[in-house]
Amino acid sequence: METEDIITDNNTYPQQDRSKNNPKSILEAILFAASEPITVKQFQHALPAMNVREIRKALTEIQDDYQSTNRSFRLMEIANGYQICTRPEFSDWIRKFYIQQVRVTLSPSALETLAIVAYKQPVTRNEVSTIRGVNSDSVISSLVEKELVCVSGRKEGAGRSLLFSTTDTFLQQFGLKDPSELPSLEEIEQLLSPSNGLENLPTGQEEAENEL
Amino acid sequence: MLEQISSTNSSLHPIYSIKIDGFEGPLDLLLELIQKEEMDIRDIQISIITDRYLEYVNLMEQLDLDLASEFLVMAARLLHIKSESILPQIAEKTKYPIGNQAQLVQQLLEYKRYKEAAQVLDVYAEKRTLIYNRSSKLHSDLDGTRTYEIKATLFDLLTAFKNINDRISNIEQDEEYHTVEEETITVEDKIAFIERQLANDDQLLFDDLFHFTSSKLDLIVTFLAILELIRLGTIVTVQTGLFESIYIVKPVTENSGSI
Repeated sequence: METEDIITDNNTYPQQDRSKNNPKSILEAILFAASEPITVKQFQHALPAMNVREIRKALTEIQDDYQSTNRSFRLMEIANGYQICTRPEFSDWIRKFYIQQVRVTLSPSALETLAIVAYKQPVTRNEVSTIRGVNSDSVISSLVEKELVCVSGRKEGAGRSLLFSTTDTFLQQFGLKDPSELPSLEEIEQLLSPSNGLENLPTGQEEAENEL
Repeated sequence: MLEQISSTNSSLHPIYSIKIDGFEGPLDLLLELIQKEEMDIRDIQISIITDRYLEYVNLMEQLDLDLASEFLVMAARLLHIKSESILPQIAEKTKYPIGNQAQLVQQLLEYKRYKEAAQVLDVYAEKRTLIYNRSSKLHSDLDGTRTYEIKATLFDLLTAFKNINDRISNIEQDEEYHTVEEETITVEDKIAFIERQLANDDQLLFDDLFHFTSSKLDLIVTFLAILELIRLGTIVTVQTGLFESIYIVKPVTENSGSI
């Protein structure tokens, strides 16, 4: 392939260079065609001539380009990867063409079990059941079936119980870059106080953009 | 009311028994009762809450729901705390570890934190629907969107069931004559009936399903059929708000079945 050319190019990213060897354009083309978020690792695998730092730099530049030119889409960090997505304020217009985006619906018990796993991961079945005050084995199994939760290891010590964590599918379906993007339990308490509202939930993406 | 149900209960036993694992647990019930009574978790009037809790546990037992043992353990715990509060000298003598109200309050507070976190997760799922990406599984617009505020819990369903049962009891008492017929309806029949109704309609009103019921047994069978369908993920029960009417709908996607 033409990896040689990329190397010669990679110190300069001319804003207007649309040539097929411009790294930023290559990443953009891949992102444009992708239906799933792409991780930096995947990029690196496809473009061995670029290192992680260069890939991240190019991705940030693409983000800045879209932001500064007021595009109706943005390069979003989701599920540990990158994906081109429309901006939320255009959802009303998109819905004139398409039915509302498919949404995860979980029973209250499944959702609270998922919340416990998301906040306490890695966590054992027993630890979840103790917090919920009721055996949660079947709820956890069904979350595993839905690929929102997976076995991530075994606990040290006697019994070596299975440990459960959230998956990339979970991050995808809830629009999160990684679990640490969730507000802390203390922050939630404040958000739920009467003076506030859940509409004011912070999301990493928006904050990053507002700073620009 | 509870005695009236139990009179039909004995005949129900061989028909069906619903496992209720996967539904909400005793802490959930306690939180809902505390909320309904508009109490502060840190300042629970233990005797009121214990009575209300036992009322629900009795109802679940009489419906022959395969009650999680945790519900009974909690009942014992509440009764112990209640006795301690009435006779503090007992508390001093026994120092029974699980009967400690402060400990229960801590457990409730921690559990509540995760319930709130679950609410937050739900908001994220909702916000996610505003963002579209290439080849998201988009369907062309069919019937617009319905929005339900919250999903109904087991206790919302039990409350709705209690209300209907009370209403029917009143009607039956007013009637002078009773026609005695042999009942042969099974939970399986009811499940098939509800599935047929849902094939025609996108949503069913929980109360409406009971309009077709002719007897108390029928009422209980209908309720058990609804619980079984929820457990199987065939239906989801939703409400437009807390303590509002309950609707029965199909899950939105193939991987969205309620547990």
